[in-house]
Amino acid sequence: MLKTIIGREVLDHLKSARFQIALLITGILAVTTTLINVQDYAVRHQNYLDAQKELRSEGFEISVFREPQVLSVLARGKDRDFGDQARLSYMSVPSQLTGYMNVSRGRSRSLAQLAAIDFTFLVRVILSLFVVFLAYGAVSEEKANGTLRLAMANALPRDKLLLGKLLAGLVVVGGVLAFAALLSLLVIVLHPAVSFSTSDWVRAALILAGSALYLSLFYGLGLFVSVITDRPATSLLVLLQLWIVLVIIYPNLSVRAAEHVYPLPSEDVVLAQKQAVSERFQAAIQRANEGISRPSPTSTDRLQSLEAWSGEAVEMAKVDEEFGRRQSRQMRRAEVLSLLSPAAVYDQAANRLARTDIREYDRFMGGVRRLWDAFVGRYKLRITDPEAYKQTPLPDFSYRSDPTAEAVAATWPQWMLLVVINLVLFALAYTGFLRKDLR
Amino acid sequence: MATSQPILKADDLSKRYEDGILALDHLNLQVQPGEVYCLLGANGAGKTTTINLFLNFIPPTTGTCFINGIDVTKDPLEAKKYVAFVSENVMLYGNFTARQNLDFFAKLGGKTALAKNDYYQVMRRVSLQEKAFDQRVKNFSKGMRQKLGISIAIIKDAPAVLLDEPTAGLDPKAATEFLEIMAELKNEGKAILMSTHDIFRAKEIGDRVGIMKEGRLVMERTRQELQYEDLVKIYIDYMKSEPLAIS
Repeated sequence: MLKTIIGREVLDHLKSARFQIALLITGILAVTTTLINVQDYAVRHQNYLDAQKELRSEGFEISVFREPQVLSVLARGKDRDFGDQARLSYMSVPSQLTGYMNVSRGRSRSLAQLAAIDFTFLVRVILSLFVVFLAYGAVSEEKANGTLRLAMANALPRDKLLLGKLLAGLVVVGGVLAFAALLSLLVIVLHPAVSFSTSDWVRAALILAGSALYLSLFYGLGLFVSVITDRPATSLLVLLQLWIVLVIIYPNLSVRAAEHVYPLPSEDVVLAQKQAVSERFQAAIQRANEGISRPSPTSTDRLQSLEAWSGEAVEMAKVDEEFGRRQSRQMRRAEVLSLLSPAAVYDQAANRLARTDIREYDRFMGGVRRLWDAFVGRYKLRITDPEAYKQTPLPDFSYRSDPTAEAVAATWPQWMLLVVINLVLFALAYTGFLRKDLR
Repeated sequence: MATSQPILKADDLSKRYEDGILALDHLNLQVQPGEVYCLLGANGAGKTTTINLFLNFIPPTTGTCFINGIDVTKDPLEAKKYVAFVSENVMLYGNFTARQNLDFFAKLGGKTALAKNDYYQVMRRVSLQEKAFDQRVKNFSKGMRQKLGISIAIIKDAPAVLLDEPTAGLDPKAATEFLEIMAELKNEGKAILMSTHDIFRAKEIGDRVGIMKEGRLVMERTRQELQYEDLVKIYIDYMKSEPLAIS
């Protein structure tokens, strides 16, 4: 009997105009968004390779370039906003990245959510909305038009009917998701600029699995609302309102709430702190400048200059780092607050898996800071012990990118949260349907 | 009329809704195999509530419904194996053809091994046009949908059939055809309980006719008794009479 119900439900969905239109839109969007993101990645990656080739030099300052994340073709996150280049000199510790040729980016820690249009946007916004349209009438429409009474006049257990509807819905939603994923992956595989490693494929598969969980949650929600309302128009209205709150309003509201609850020092305060640092070092820098400006400065002059400038840079960096730490804390609070929104949970987990979230940026900046320390240490060596300097090359820039196992472990609670919400929604729909008045 | 064990039986059945309205007040009725029982009454008299209770769509406040001797409240799934249902306005899955709809409901009714020809035979029996068999039902007229609804009841081959104002809104020809099929089912030994507003057709087809008012069965007559009485006058007299005291 379950097979009969699933078969009918699936066939009914497939024959409906809304399914066919949604499938068409999904296909078009999957191809175009992935194509745009792949092209964008290809350009950014080429820029990275060119910059590596042309600008890698050591002298008064060096540049470090951030390689764009290949999985940004699926989940762009903040990868595009992070910036691409850090310029290191003993006079300043970079607090954020710039674009190539020092074009300002400065949005690396922006709290703005859900902006990039990519595969995860397609799932999070378009497909979740499609699922709402698919699920709203699952029970209420049948109740309104009388087919539910006709079906329930048979020896058909209510739980079996509801389970059949849920499974059929999941089959259809899974099919649409698989269709979208297949098109996106086809674009990725066929593009010569994109190459996934095994770990990237694992991460992409996890993002897909998470997408399925996220969409099934909306189907469960649709089923529940459809059970507790008697008219399809009412259930659609309720679901659309819930969708707007969960997908659009709440994630942004949680960001605003975090900004309000955990405010950051204003730009003026930060500037004043930097001004104070600058004033503290002003005398030392002036002395150092005088020494270094002599016709033949001694190594002591040069060392004093280095220590004055790098000392100021370290203190300036402390101000920036403290600001960055507070921003990161604010972001994490926003993430915690937004856990009530499945869209935010999905977004966070997908970006973590794609290495396009703030944590990956922080890891990169940690590597930049370590390189800066080595760079300044080596600069001192150049003054104090030129022989040792020659024998001690500057270490290559490196940082430990988020390992797959760690990313999986970190996103596990978020996926589990989606599983739990799925189960709760089905339990609510089940309870509601058992009590439903079929008049 | 047969006099064996009743297939449908309402035993002191009452229903009071959450809003306090007493929709059914201590109803007792029985329908034997091969008997057509027509429930007459104005809107809100309790006819549809009675059918809803037999189908376990709502629980009774007091009393019991039995189908083929099975307590509907205690074992609804077993009880529903023995009953088919045709509603006032048969609505089917619009994207499916007549045969696909029939196939789905037949399977729900436990008929899992039917061939395409079996469906066609049933649809021919209810005089559905051949060209409509494999057409989507979304454009079917009400008469065609009612015919398909009775096809669903026929194919289930249950000993009891519940009909909730099945001829309402049908043109005279379609209504007559519908009642001919009812007569055939009756001759096959089905117990038929039909709620209706149509006094003339109730008299024509009913072996017994009950008049309901404000949830109570206020009158019951057999076909023989109605040969000597004017059902229309009885019905109108009851409808005009004072409201009943609320129990």
